[in-house]
Amino acid sequence: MRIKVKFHSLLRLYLGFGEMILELPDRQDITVRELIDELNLRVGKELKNKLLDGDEIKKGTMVLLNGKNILHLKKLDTVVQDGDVVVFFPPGGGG
Amino acid sequence: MKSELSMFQRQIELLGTDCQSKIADTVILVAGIGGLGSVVAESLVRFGVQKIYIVDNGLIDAPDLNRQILYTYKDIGRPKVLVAKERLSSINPSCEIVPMDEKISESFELPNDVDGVADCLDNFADRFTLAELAWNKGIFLVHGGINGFWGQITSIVPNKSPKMKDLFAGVDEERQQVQVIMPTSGIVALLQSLEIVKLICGIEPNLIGKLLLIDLLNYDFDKIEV
Repeated sequence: MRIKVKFHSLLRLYLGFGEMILELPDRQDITVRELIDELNLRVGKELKNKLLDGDEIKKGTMVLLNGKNILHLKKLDTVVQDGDVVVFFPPGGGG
Repeated sequence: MKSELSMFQRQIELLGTDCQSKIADTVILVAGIGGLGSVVAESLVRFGVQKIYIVDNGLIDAPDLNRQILYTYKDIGRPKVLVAKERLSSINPSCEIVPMDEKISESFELPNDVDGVADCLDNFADRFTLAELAWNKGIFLVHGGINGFWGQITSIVPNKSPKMKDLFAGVDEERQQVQVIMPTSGIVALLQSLEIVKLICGIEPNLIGKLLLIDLLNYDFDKIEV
């Protein structure tokens, strides 16, 4: 399976890139929790600490699966499938 | 009347007379008259909106002057809405500017004649309150938010887009002291004002059901269906 993963704003700044295609040839699907573990292994940085607070998405970070906020799906247990797009970003609160 | 018409001559050629009439007949409330709100309000006056409510209970402070274009050094310490009214009225005296020196809260009431809202606030708690008021009134809200080189815009329209609190579930709702430069607030705000005009005139594509993520560090725009 192939998943497009996008990082915006401060997450892109931290990682040094804004988009990657994650190839998982042995998988049919993956949860967001597992996806973050996989990304953490591949990017060579402490991405997991940036995204998670314990076993929850860190306050202030949004995760969209095909445009839907995963907090309205199954949170970290939300299943990601082939062709899906996952976006991580912290919205700007200032005005 | 002649001078009014000539003020909008260059854009009527682009937008058409029907659109210009709709702009003039639409009443907008700009919530927050800081970095975003200053530019949104000025742009709407220059577009030809004829009545604008501006809501903010803040006083002008020196750190506002790097981006809040309605204010100058001599205005420090004065209420933002009063100085904003002076400046906006001087651009087009026929535009009615209604200052509301108050904070958005659950007890805030949207004036009856408001047709649309610009969310230029500085925290998500107040944004959610404002968006709920607009949603319940059945009118559009154009959201803008910024931090550093980055910002986002979306249009919240009842039954056509997700609710604000659903789209942004999980955000930190408290007011945060963000880093900000004028290009970020200015560009996001100008796009908000454009989006408001698009909604008024029915120009597509617009940002209903779409989240525009703006990255000025990398000059990237990403539009996500939500």
